[in-house]
Amino acid sequence: MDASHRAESPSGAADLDALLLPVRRALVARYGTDVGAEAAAEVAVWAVEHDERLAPMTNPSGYLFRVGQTAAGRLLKWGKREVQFPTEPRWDDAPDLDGDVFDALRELREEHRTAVLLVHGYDFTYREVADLLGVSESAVTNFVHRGMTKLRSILGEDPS
Amino acid sequence: MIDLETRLRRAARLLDEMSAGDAEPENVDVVGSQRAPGQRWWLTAAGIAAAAAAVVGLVVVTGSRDEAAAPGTEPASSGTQVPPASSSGSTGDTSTGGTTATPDSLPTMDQLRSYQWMAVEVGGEPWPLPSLPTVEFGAPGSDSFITGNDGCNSFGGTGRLDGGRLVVGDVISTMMACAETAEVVLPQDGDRIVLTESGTRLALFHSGGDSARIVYVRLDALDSVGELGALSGAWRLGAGDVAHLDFGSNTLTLGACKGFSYEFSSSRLRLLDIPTDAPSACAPGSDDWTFGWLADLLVAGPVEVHGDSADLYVSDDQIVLHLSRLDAPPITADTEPPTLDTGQMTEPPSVDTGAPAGEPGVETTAPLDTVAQPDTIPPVVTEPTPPPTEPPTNLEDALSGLGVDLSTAPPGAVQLGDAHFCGVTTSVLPAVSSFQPVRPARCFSERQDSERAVFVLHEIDRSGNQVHVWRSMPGEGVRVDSFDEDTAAWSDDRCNRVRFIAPGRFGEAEFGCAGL
Repeated sequence: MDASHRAESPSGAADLDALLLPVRRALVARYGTDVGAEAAAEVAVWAVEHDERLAPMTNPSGYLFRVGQTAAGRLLKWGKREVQFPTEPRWDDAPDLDGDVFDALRELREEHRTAVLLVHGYDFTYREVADLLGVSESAVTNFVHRGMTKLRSILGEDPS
Repeated sequence: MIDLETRLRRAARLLDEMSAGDAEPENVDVVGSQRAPGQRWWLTAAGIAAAAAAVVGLVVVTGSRDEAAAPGTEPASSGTQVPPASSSGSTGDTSTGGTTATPDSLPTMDQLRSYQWMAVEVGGEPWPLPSLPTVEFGAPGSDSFITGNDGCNSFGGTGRLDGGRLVVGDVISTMMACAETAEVVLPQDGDRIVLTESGTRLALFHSGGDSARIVYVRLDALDSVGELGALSGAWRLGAGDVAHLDFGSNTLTLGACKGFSYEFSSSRLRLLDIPTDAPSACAPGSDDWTFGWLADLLVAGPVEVHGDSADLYVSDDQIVLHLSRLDAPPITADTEPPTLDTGQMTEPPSVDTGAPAGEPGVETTAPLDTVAQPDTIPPVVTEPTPPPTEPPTNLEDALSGLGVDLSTAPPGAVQLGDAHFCGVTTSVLPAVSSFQPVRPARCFSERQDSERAVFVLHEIDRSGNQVHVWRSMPGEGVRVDSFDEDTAAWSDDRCNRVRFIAPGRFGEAEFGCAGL
């Protein structure tokens, strides 16, 4: 598990880095590289501004994710942005893959896509994702299961 | 062949690379790009410093606008002239101006993007509320390089920044009917951009012009006092008396509960230090129902003020509450709490039979058209009349009363034991489709994780055979569990956002729910 998922304290740049990294990843997974990254930038500014409010929080990443959600919602609503993902490159060791994994991810529900990418892309634990998204661990399990099932279906992969 | 998990790990790495840099996603199809691996602007000391600078800028601007201006600049708030770009190497027009001040610098995309800019001056005159022309800048070359509102219609277009000059390509716009006198406030191709006041003001000049034709202010640096001026005073939620809100200079009064400290800046409302229990600030003996759900909903909600009306986005923007100014004096802790609109209750009108008040069994009920005058009909003592049936204040009871089979309900649909009763309301209600008349029923709300509210309403739709439980769940969109009385079956659906407004009278609720 990536140690950068956590931070002991939000104070200090190093800790702030560790605090913001999972939030950024979650926002990008949910809202794409454009809106997600911009929302994460707003979160970073907010975090610096409200360091003293973050310090006593037991789940600052979860709180910051909510801040990012609000920012992303505003970008999507007022900026008329869309969720954007890149095109999956052709891998040298697998040049003949079916479909595009990003296209498939885009077809998932937001929460499913976020959970799938955090768990299988970044090796978050279900508990960490649950804390970040503010949902129960069982909900995350459900999101990942449904998301992976749909991904396999879209990409024509054998469920076994 | 690689498996799906491996593809996802590689996808995650690509997303890291693309989103971690000082992203200019001009071509999102190019994966890998020229960004330095691991470049993370907000994770670096420079990024932190930049963020801190933005914060300091906000504080300074709020405190003293003059102090906020960079050395050598002239406050643009004077409404006169803003200097043209003059840096060497600029493609901007440097031959005009006539002012001695110089701008902070040529604008860069970094200074323009990630902010919303709101017009405050047009043609040297302050731009009046409530129309708020805005502009935002996106990735150069993209369809959303420039987006915004011209004061009536929304627009978007391609373009780029060429030095200090705006190059705008194809622009598309909505086609709302606008007032004939409405002035279009729109950036134009060839406009010269000048940033002043530490990058918090953006002035657009006609090519060759020496007076700013539009001055925008960066929304996050907007003078909070000005914003408070738009929001201060007493407001009514929706069309009924579900809730009154009074924004004072320092405190917000919610119904009979007052004393909430709040801040309002960048068009965003935040309640500060919300107690977790019923507020001691509520008037003695008052019902704390207002606090129970409204305080939670109000946390960190963006507010759009349009003169005498305002839209308050709450619960991760999933819900829009419509506020209208309250002409009556603001509710204070000394007055009675606002009463619920019980117009939907079905008790027939009671008839005063002339018996002493408070004596049981002296009232009866009759249809309105048969009500007789007390002085012509002697009092008739009847059997004691049961008290009016109050709507259940427990969600499960309420649903049971509607014939819902709770035993087959999906998890979460009815397990709201601590749902807070909002009352029978015509003010906040969902509808089954846009712009269709709806019948309101009962409103419940639930606190979640001690910091968020789940907003629950249910209703019987127009055909009278379905019960809907609407739940706004932070981070999970809106869930709609529907019980069909004909089939006795539940179904659930989701949408990204529920939006309902009761603009003035019953039957005009507007509802939007993507995915339904």
